[in-house]
Amino acid sequence: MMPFTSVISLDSLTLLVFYFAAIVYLIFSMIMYYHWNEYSPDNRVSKMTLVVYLITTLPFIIGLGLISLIII
Amino acid sequence: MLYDKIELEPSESVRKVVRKHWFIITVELLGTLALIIVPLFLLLILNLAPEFFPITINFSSYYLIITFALCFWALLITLLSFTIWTNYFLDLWVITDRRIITIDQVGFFNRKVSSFRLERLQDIKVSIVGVIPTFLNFGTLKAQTASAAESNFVSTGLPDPRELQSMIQKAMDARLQSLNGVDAV
Repeated sequence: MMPFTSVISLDSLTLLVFYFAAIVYLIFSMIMYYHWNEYSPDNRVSKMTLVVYLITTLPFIIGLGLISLIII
Repeated sequence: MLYDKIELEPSESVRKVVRKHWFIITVELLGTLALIIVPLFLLLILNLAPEFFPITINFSSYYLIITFALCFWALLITLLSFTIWTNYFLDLWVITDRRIITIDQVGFFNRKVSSFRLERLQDIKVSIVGVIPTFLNFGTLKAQTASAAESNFVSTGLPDPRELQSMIQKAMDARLQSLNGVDAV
């Protein structure tokens, strides 16, 4: 049986993982926004949560993208 | 917003909105955030004890891949933490002067909203079990209504359940009095 790294290179795998992460992140963000916008009883907490969400998660997704670019 | 969805009756006022105790969310969030260090811990073990793990990883040549994997892991844990926070904040009991609305946010796609009128309330039970719940004053509140179907409403980890029980009891008495007053007229 061929080793996995012979079938797909590490560069392609990294890019694939990045695309997967970006899609999951996008869908998750939409679900988060919908829930906080629709069901939250407190507008202020909703805004704060969404801002903190973007501040804490965006650097990770940007970091993943940058590392993918460096690797390929 | 939530109150547009609930559609409060005219002149119905919200008396209290109750969420689970802060200890519940703190434990859940700390437990989840602790998972961030798991891969770092594994790498440290692999590096420090090569005699037990015969895998040699050249960290200097794979540092980009390792950083990428750590970044991916941290993103997943952060998303999980926000899921826990969302479930905590959107899971609540809304007590109005006419009814109790329980919103059970189990997950993003599992949300149960029930409401029962105070005059139909038959029994409210409070239980505080354990050392930490006793010291921090949180417990389970069980409300039973006269309705045949789905007659029990249970919520765990509610802060100050005795005060909540007394508040619901008073609201129920006031409601019954106002209804009897209307009947008498």
